[in-house]
Amino acid sequence: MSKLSKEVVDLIKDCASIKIVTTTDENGNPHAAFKGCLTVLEDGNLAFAETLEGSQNNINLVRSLWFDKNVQLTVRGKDGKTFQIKGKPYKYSYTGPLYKKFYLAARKKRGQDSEISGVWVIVPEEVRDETYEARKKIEDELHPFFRHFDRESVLVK
Amino acid sequence: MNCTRSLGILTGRVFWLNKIMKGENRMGKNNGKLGVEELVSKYPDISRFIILKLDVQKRGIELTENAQEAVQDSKYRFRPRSAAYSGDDGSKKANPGPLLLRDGTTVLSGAGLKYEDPYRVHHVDGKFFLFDKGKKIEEVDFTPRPDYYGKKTSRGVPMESIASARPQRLDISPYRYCHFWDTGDQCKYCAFFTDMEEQRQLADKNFPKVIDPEDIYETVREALKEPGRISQINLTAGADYSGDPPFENEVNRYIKVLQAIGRNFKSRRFPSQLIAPAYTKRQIKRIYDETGLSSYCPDIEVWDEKLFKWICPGKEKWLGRDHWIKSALDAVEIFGKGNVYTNFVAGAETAKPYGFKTIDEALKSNFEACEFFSKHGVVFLSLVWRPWKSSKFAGQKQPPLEYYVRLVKGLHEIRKAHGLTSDNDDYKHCGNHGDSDLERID
Amino acid sequence: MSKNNGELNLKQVAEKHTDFPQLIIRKIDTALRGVNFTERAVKKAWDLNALYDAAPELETKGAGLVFGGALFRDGTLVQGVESISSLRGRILRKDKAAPYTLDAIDGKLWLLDDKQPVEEIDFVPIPEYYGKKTSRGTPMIKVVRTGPPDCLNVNVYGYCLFWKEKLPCKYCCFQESLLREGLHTQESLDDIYETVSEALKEKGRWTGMRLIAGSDFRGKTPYENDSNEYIRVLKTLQRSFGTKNIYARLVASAVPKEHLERVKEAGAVAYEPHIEVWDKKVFGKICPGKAKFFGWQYWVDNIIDAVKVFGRGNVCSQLVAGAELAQPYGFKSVEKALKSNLEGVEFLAQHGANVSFCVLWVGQGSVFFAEKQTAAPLEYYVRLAKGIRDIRKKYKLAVDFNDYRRCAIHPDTDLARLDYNEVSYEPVGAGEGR
Repeated sequence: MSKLSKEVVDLIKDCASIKIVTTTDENGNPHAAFKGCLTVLEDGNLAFAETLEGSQNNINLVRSLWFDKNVQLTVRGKDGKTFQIKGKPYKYSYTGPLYKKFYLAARKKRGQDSEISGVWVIVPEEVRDETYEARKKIEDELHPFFRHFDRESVLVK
Repeated sequence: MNCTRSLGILTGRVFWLNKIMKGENRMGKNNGKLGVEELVSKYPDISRFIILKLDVQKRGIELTENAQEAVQDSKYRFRPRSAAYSGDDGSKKANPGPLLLRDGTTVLSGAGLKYEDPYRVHHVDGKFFLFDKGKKIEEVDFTPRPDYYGKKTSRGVPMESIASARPQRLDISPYRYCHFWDTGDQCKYCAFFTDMEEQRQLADKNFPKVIDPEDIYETVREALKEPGRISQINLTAGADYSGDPPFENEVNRYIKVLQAIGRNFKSRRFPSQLIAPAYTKRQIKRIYDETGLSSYCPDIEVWDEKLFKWICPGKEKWLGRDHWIKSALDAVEIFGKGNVYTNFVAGAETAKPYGFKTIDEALKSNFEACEFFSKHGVVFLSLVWRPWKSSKFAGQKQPPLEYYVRLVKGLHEIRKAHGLTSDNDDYKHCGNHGDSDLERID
Repeated sequence: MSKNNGELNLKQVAEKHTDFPQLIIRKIDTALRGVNFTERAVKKAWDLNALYDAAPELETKGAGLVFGGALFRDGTLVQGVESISSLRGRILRKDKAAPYTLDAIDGKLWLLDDKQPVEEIDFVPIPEYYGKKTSRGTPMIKVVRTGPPDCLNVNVYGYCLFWKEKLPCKYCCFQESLLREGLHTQESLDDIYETVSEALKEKGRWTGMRLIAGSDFRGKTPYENDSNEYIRVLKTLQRSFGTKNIYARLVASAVPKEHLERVKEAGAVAYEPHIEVWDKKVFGKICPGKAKFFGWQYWVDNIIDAVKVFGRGNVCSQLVAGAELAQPYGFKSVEKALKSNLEGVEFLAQHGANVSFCVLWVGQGSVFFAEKQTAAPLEYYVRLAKGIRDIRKKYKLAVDFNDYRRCAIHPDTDLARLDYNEVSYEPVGAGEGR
């Protein structure tokens, strides 16, 4: 069963959403990149095109797949609804139907002198609602001692 | 350049060699016993995918019946089965193209051939899986059939008989014969030109020794119509040393072919590689000036001087090891650093009875070669040796998997230290070198 | 190995324990070695509103300076800054260990080790309510003091009957007030109400509230008097907060379960009964008062019972780490001491209770001071902190109310910052949920 709820899928498929993939390099340096083309495949996995073979993002993704590291995807809707998806790169395609679909889409968007390097398929492992209100609720429940005493929920005056 | 003098430089630079050899000598006598997973643990900085690739290259694959059926689908159907290398059941079923691992690593698996201890490929729930001794190892896929397959040139020649496809590359053999075989001087590991049955079947009765450059032009043109499919064109063929100086006729032929291919491109140079004999500097210059070729690859095959003479008698005869080395170095002055390659058949240098007795010796020799070539801007790449049935080395034992792991690791480190990359011969533009695959995370 | 032999210095400890944060090692080292302020640092502290001269209000002579606190770059508290407080000269340091120096260089504050800057430091400003008075004219600083960086400390009562019984904990520093029995009057409770109410006006400042007292074991049942006084103060704080539950912890004696329920009813949400020393025999020698009133088993049972009242993760005992190595009372080797402590930590964790530790300070007025005892080696504290963190992590125990910010004197709870996302309020330990 997919780890992604309908709400998350809809948010990812919404063109107006901001989508970011975050990876780390060999030394743990983080790298974040916008991935407007991020989508959900029929099997519930996530896919996005990597434009440049030599990009830091692509290198980090290869390393993540080779050495079993997680990457993180963040999607934020225009109303502030935000989800963070932790996952593992499962597959990299630079030939075949999935690749061709993204390739042609990139061409259409950026013109004839454009291309993609390949398509990354990510298996989502954990989804977290990162919307401010949701995180705040969880934090208050899990760590009530972290609140400042002058907050409304602590001090009623 | 005098090659003997160049070789003398080797004694002065041993840093990388020492580093690589020293680290690995701790292995002791366990060489040759370790499988993929054990080596993944032992070499945590080497991707499991690459270690698996090396093992699959070494051992080959066999398709189960259901996988064989699945690759008859038009999406995968590549070419008729061949008896070229080691004998086959003679059925007319199609074979798939190169194997693809999840990370995009290509394995030129040679499906349809006979191996002693192959991995098995099953087809389960619409997906292919690699199995080893009954255990599921990895999800895999096969290279999709390109759109130009099944089409013919205006002269009626099937295009797939002109160019075969890898995931991102076209392979073209403009001359289907190797004259080293005429005198029994073929390289001892070679089986490539003993049987052209596969191409013969594809070309039906239209199977000339020399392919018409116009057929090549049309095939490339058609192949390039498929969006995002091709990013490299590779030419290689059997050796034809006729002409004065030697290989002159071959050079003229390649120039015509490359010019024909070049008509498909707007840019002066196009992504391409010519794997060919060692030409003179003048011949190399002509090819560079008169065509759009972007890289040149005179394969040294075996680095050790004595073993080169023994294993590659044709190359020794035409025109000798020093010339092959000099040719590669000369080519750097023309094509530029990193645009000249030379391959070697890794493991052949351990063939009996004259080969290296230990893998440490073999590795030492190969790392010396890599250091030497890297210093001169030449990319020295490994290929996994298989003792084909039709080759003189048939029946020989390959080195253990760990040899290949140590080899690709060492070659990669040496080239990296010299700032050399294999962009024109990497996982995507070639896919046959475990060492250049490793560059993806650099 | 005896506790004073073969001690590694900070650099050696850091090299040996690469998975342990260097800043926390440094913090422990400041606690062990102390920190002296240069004149420039004192001036900077005044400039940054991190010093307050409370001498007139506290009616003391000379030693009335109150320091806001010093923090490392990560927010961890710098310990051992007594040189600028009333504790100046009253802590016994190891002979070899030269103190750190806190200096102001080019406008920034630096911790110097052997004259070399090693860490940049920040000061914590004094709270806004200092200098103000209650409606009765009581200086608020006399009513409630702060524990940097985020905590308000409310004194429930100041005496300790263990001293009166001549059975003090051996590391405890004597002050006259410890013998002076006295409880809050309605006026002094009103002072607390007004002071806390005033303190809460400072936005974004307070996330911790600690109620502290000595020990009074008297009453119809053990420690009944003790709990009664806590309840009086808690009810006062409820007025200040305007809420039933106060995010406050009681640092208290081993109050029986029936009283803990009353205390909880009065608004307390977390509880700290300090066992001080885990080993039963050594406990008896170091903490004779606690041993008499009413024994090691009584105190341990109390910790476990408290979890049933306050919930897992809301109870935390404490070790005065190093005291268990004091001779001739304690362990002869750090290995044995560590083993004992971690066994205790794990045992209590299995029941949902935390244990933290503080570094032993040998202060003037204590039995230990007279005996010239010293703290344990730096590496001992590092290993202990690491061991406690591992156990806490294993049992997914939260220790939020007693962490780097809300208490700041426990190297092990400083490490809890790394595990905030892994806590569970569901039973994990073998002894929980029975």
